[in-house]
Amino acid sequence: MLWRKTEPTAGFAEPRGGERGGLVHPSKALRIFVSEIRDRTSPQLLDTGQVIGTNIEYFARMGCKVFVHDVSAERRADLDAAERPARLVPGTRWSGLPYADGQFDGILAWDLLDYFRPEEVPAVIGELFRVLKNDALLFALFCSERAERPEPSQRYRIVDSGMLEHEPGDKPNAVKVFVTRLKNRDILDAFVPHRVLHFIMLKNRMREIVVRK
Amino acid sequence: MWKTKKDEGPDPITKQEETPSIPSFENRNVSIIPPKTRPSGGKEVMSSGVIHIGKSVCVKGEITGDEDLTIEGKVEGKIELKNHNLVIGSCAQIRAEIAAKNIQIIGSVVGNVIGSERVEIREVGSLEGDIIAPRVNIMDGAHFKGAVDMAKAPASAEKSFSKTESKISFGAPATTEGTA
Repeated sequence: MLWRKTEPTAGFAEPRGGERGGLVHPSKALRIFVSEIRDRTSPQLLDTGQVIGTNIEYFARMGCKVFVHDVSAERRADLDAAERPARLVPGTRWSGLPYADGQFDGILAWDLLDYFRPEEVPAVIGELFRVLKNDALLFALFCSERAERPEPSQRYRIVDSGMLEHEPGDKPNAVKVFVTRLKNRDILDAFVPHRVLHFIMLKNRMREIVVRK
Repeated sequence: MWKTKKDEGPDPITKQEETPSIPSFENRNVSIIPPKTRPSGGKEVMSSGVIHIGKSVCVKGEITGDEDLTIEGKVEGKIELKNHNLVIGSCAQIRAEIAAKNIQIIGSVVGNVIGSERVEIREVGSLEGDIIAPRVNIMDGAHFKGAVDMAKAPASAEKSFSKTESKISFGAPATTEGTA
């Protein structure tokens, strides 16, 4: 027999197959990230994206303590605010992450780095890796390199350990007002001296990466 | 074959009349809602024995109890309901540590939340604080900033409930604004 039907693993989200009109695609970066997190003892995970309950539940059921800090929302608030935050990550207008050094076993950065200017990206990556433990992983997505179309505002839902759904954001047809389009080489250079485990362009031209500290 | 209405047990209103009100429940601003439509709630139909803290009520201190509770007002301090359900209504503004069996958040909460069975944040709900519960449901659109821990939920909840007394009380000093 060439194939067999497998029962869904307990504690994992049921496939959602684009039911919200999003693009579902296999994600090797997510598979690497999940398999690594799953093998750790009492892992602590930081999700910096929009609040997606099923994502939080997915990792929490795996035994993770999941911290949620929507940086994109905070970023929008920072840019709108007249006053600067009290603490800034050097080289940015971002107040950074309110967590201790080396606290997390993994970070889901989603498209966080799209919201920063190119010159800010290295400092932001430095802040993300500050709160990561040694040997821990970071998962990130980057928008299309080409600016021939508006970049849709999306959120990202884990379908299962190797499938990710890019679904429309809160408002249909919303696009990112401000977006940084890093080139592939710039992305790889930004993560030096860390170890890039996987980097690939997806069907919707987004790039996904998983990096080990 | 089919049960007649008489077979279904005593009429809820009659049952409510037979049940004595909780003696320690002295505060005039908190009431046990009979199984009727709340006058202030409009469309809301409250089940028997659910305690309701209304929109205009502000409590500073500690709420402990052995009843289901719905809060629409402001609470600052601590809320502990042993083996009972708590609903934070859409108008509620809570700054408190919360422990209950099932917790549903529709309003705004700042503080840590421990659910011995389940914690749910609805689409319009907001929580800034950590959640410890074996089942957590955060709806899309909800505001949440904090940590979720489903692994150590039962032990932590039991530990928290061990000090809970079976009464409803308000810690001093209590500030009250208006009536429910």
